[in-house]
Amino acid sequence: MDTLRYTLRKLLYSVPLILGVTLLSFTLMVYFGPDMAYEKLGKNATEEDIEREREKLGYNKPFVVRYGNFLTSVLTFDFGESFSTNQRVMDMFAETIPVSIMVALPGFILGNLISIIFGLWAAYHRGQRLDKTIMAGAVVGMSISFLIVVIVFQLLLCSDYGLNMFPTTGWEVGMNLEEFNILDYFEYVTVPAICTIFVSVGYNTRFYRAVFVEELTRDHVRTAKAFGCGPVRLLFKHVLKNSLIPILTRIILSLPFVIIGGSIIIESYFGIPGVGSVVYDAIVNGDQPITKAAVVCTAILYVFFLTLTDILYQVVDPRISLK
Amino acid sequence: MTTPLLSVKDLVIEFNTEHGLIRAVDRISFDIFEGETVGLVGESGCGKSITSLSILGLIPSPPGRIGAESSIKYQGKELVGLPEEQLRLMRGHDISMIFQEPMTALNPVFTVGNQMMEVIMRHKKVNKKEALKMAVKMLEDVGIPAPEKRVHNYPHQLSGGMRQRVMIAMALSCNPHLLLADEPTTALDVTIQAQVMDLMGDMQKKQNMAVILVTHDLGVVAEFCQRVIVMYCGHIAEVGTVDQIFNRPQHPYTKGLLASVPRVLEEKVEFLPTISGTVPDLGNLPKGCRFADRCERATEECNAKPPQLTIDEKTQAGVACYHPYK
Amino acid sequence: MTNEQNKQETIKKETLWTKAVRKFFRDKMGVISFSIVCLYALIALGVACGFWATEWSELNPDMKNTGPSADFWLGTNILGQDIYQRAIFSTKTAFEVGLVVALVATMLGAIVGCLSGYFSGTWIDEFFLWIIGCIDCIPFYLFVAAVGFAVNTLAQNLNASFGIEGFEYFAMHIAMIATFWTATARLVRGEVIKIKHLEFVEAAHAIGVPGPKIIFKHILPNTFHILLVQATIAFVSAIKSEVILSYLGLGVKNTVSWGKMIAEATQEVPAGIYSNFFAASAFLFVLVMAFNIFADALQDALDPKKVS
Ligand SMILES: Nc1ncnc2c1ncn2[C@@H]1O[C@H](COP(=O)(O)OP(=O)(O)OP(=O)(O)O)[C@@H](O)[C@H]1O
Ligand SMILES: [Mg+2]
Repeated sequence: MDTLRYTLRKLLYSVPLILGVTLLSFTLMVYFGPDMAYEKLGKNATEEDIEREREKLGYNKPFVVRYGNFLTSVLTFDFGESFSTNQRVMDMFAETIPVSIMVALPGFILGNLISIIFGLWAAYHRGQRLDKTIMAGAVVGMSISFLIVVIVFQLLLCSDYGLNMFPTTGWEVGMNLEEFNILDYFEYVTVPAICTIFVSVGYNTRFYRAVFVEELTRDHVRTAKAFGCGPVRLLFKHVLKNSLIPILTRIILSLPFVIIGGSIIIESYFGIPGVGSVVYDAIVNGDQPITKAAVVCTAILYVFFLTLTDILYQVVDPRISLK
Repeated sequence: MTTPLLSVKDLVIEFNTEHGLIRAVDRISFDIFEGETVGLVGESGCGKSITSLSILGLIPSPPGRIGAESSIKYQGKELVGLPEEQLRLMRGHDISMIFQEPMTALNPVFTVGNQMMEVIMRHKKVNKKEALKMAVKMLEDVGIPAPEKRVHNYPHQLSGGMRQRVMIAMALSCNPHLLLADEPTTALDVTIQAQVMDLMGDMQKKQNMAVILVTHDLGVVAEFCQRVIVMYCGHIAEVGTVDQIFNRPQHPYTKGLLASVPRVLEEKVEFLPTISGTVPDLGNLPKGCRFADRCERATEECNAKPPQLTIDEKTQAGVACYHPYK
Repeated sequence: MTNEQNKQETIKKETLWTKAVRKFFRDKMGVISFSIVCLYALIALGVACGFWATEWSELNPDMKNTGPSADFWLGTNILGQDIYQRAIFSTKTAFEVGLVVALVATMLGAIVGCLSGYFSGTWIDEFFLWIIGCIDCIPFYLFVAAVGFAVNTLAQNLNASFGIEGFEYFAMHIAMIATFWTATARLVRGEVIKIKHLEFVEAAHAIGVPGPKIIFKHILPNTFHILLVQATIAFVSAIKSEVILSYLGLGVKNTVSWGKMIAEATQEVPAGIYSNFFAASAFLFVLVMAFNIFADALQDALDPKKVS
């Protein structure tokens, strides 16, 4: 009951944030956005046609009214139809988001796990050679552009110039239970997952190591050591649990970006029909209803996850109570 | 004379700092015998805490390290250079430690019972249920009311005094032979201080363990200790029984230290004498006696070469001074 | 009294800075990486002054997609342009993007962070935090795209109404600045809240120094070490993001950059043509790597509390 009330209150607090994001995206994408009348009617429309279309689109109305209309469309999750495919945007999202999650999740989870282990390991050996090696590796990883990673791994693993072990592009994986085949899935997800891991491990390891190093300097760690605690238990019981708040925050708050368009590059480059590809096309073609929807949906998810972290904090840390 | 429980010889502790290598503890030697309580006193920063940490092999490294010629023998067994796994078996089992800050020394995200059980289960071959029972028993022994409930509390739900009792309970749960208590009462208020000290005294008698009591409170030393080690700037200035140190201090520093303690019984305290001058910087030590700068009895000799501490085998007393008070 | 305090403060600061410099120069990796960054800067300066890489856009119709040769050290691209010269020229683009974004974003972050921190607990702070929060929950590339669209419209309007041309060139810069400043603002805000309660600030308050003067004369200079590190980080992020944005078609216009070269290469590499890709990747990697190490060394030197 308490948790419910707390959650509701937190969600209430997030209303200004949602309003802010919608205002921002409205101003940038609709108010200052391109004139849709031209785009819709094509090159050889008459002056009157355009004028009528603009009237219909509500371009002549004042800012507040137009923003109100925009808000209504947000609240009803009705972002209209895509300019290029004429499909309903929300239908397109519903179709492609599951694919994106399946593409992104393995790399995301493994990337974080690997980084946490590296981070613990490096932090425990802080200042020693092992730490320096791991951190040097992290800097190298951080210095390579995502696009380069994608190009190189595709070349090495998916082409005749390299090992040619995986399909170059595409996503021929059944998306419902009967058609789903785990081997197909592995075949298509491996290279994207490797790319995701490669680009994220550098940043994540640095972040996690800093968190763990900080925790390792705390008094209670010294106490644990003074009572004979070994390194494995020390790291995985005492240090890890105490550092869960920054770790969870980082992981959970990056989820919205992973779910919606987080893998724009991977999906477009590997030709995977996920929401990232849809967003990529929308950006390249200036397909406004889609970009608008992506921004707003991510923001809403973000705010939702933000509330979730707040609630998780209490589970993780007994000192934080429902206040 | 029996063999000592703990024998520290030529202990050197060095730190790699921005200003180069500093020697925070420089060739100190002392013995601790079974069942006795020894006070370790001295100015802030003189190396008391790191001395006790070094016994457990807990000097943070890097930047710290223990000098190569140092020797710390526990029941005749050399601890310096002992593999980490073997040291771990002794920590909390043979030698325990209580820390100064009860607020931060316990892990905030586990219940006190969980932390105590972890220690008990590590060193004694018991299952979870028995460990819990033992933890409750320990909490009861250290005078925590409703221990079977408190055992499921998190540290932040306990008061400072209670937390320090939990620390003591945890430290004593495996019947150690030696307890290192680093300012166990400094963070507590005065009434609680006395209770906690009494508790430690009782437990010590019950379990017949030796205690090294690091403290700034000379009153506590007078009341609870049999012997005192006085440290100054990484050296031992003087060692002796409580009676000797308090009534016939030989080292000028000891004398100054005692003089700076207000005495309640004396009618009027005109002004509290302090020791003039400051402790030398560890990165920039004088060639001779480290106290010479502040000492009214210092001579040429003192500035030329540091005096050596020689401990009388029989009385276990000694002073590092060329011109001790008689 | 303020004089006295100022003097003390400057002495304290000087020692802090000289100490930082000393510490930095003891860090071998830091010095090496700094030299590499300087080398790149020199190359960029040379390009800007027209000393070299002047023929980067020249077409050689009979020399398309050739390999390395004496004339074209790294070969030519699909239009017969000299890849070596293009890569060198891109150094200028990178520095221009990096510097503009780093400077403006850091400055904006510093000002907002200072105001927000100084007025913490009031509606001013709430307002800034709200803006920062909003920007932080919009996906970066979509935000850049949105800002890009808006800036383009704005540029057209500017062109139509005032005859100002070329504003759309800065669409990407503005978009990056709009996202990058928030990190700095958060950090500076935290630091300012810490500094605010220090003696010298309270003393300045007590003797009636006006608020803005306190902020910009006493508080802001004390956050300079954060700004320096943040600026280096923003620089690296800018040139790395430029690659992705070029791939998304949102990159710099009417010039060449490593990002554009790599984006071109996405078409060429599957066909086995690597010159563009290798040239741009190598130039980019070395600079980003050097800058990353440099930023680390800087942070180590400047932050006495940093656990490394
Ligand atoms: N991690 C460290 N790095 C560098 N120097 C250290 C470190 N820990 C301790 N020292 C040095 O060792 C000296 C002794 O420290 P220690 O903590 O033992 O003092 P102390 O006698 O316990 O003082 P206090 O009474 O204030 O607790 C200090 O002066 C300090 O310079
Ligand atoms: Mg101490």
